[in-house]
Amino acid sequence: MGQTIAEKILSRQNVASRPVKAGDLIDADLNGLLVLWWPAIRNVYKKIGFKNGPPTVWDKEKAYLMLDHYQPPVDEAYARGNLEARRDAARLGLKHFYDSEMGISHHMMMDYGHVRPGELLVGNDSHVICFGALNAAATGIGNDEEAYALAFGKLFFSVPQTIKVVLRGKNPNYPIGKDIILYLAGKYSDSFAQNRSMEFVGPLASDMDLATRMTLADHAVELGAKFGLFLADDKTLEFVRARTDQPFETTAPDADAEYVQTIEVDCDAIGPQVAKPFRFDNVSPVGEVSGLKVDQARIGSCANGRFEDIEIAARMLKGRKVARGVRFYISPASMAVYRQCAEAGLVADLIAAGAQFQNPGCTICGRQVVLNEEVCISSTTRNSRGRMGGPSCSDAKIYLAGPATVTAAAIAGRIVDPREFLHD
Amino acid sequence: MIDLHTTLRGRVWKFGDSVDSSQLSGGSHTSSDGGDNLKGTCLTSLRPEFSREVQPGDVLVAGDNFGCGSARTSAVHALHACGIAAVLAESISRIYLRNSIALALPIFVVPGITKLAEDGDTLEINYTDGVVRNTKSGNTLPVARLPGSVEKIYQAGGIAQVIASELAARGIVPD
Ligand code: SF4
Repeated sequence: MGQTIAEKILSRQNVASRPVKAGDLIDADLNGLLVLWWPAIRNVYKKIGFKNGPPTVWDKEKAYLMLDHYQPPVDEAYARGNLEARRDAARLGLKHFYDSEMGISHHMMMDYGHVRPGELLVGNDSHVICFGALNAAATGIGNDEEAYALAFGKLFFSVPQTIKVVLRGKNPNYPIGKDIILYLAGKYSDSFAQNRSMEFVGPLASDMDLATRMTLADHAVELGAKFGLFLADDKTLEFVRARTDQPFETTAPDADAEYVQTIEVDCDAIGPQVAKPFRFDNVSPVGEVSGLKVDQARIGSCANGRFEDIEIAARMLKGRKVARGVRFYISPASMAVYRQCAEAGLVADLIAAGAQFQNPGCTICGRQVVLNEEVCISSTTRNSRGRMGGPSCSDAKIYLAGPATVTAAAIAGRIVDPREFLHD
Repeated sequence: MIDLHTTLRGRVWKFGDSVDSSQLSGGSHTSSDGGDNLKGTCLTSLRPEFSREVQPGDVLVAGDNFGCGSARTSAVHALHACGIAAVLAESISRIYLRNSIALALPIFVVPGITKLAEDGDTLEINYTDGVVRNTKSGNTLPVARLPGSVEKIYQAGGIAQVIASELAARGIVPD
């Protein structure tokens, strides 16, 4: 019997060097470890008596320590955490330490060439799963397991079953990753891929750009998935080879691989989708919520902060302005993306149209407040109660949508079908 | 250390589907491994009285996809802080399940559990016999045995203790 991508990668990394199949429980060697929230990792070591943090790391070249999420630090605790990380990175001799760089770690990992096709990576944040856009099996773990992985470079894995998602339809000239994933969530629920690997294949999967693949792979976790994987093709190889000369082995499923479910999606029939408060799978076509007035519109996050996600906003705003009374925030996923936007003139154009550019990073996706009285339409990842501002803002209404729908709302001041603005 | 083989009896707090990690740990403002007031904000967006009335030894029953959302371990620490003795859910997000194991919070996937127990009922969890029983109705459901490697993490008291012993085996000990 053939193997899926997940089964192949986990077979290769199996400590017991035996081929595996879905359902097996194995220990697997990691190819890379993204380390975030350093104070939390230190705390795990403090619990067991190492008051100065981890005494050792398994591989100085494979642990990537990044101080992301909310940089530069806005409170003393964060700044102290950065200071400790800086000292520990030097003490432990870590080769890859990104000191307080503004940006979303997952995208920095990809932009700096630390994610290669066919690899197995983990990190202490759920959205490392987006590496699947580059054919890498990646999944989030918690801080205590992260501390274990940092010391030993391996973890237990249950080998997942795989859902095959065949994407068909034409590739439009605006990002539709969010619409596809929201459609899947609405139709099959936010847990239908629980503990499973997803493989996105089919003609549209190969036609779409890497940014759209990143949206889909990133959001696989919002469907409960362990991995969200694409095949590696010329686009993948071009992206990766421009960033690293490390060797890698691309991984494709066998023709007779076994899938627990196969879903065919005619993406031409989907149209713009919106997730209403307070769940990712509370989805309807944009028409059902059109007319709703918005206070904030946001483009950014690990799901939709790439150049293509921002370029569509600039294109739609050409000759137009952000509506009065709407705060339209844009945060590129990384410094590399920011620079790309600046070089293409998008930053100046968007600012002139009334959008507000902010630092690359996670602020746009979580800490930045939406009040209970407000409505925000956002291309970020989550719309659960209190997501933007904490428990005292648990009635704030967050609608999730793709960048085109978000931009259309910023222009109109209310939720509208973005296709009105996409003809020219 | 946690002895899974001690029979637990606890009062039920029942929740629905897709209880996510930010509801468990008080929104996005807490740090990743927990702020100071984990108990005070735990699940209050769903049930304001929860943090006030929960007692040590109570058990939490939930629907599908329990613990979905971000990977923060504070979502598990919060239930520890509330004294929750065990979680039983129809299905559990994989990261939450792993974090619960890593932090030695007894957690079980029990299909049908939301039909077995109502809020305020008492459940008796006998891991050794692999059964959970509603003391009022007498109805039962099976509880699956965990893999040996996972039982070992509970025995150690969590993955941090496993790190300590594996480092010690290599001669690395705190000074
Ligand atoms: S952008 Fe949002 S979902 Fe993505 S890593 Fe940052 S906080 Fe998490």
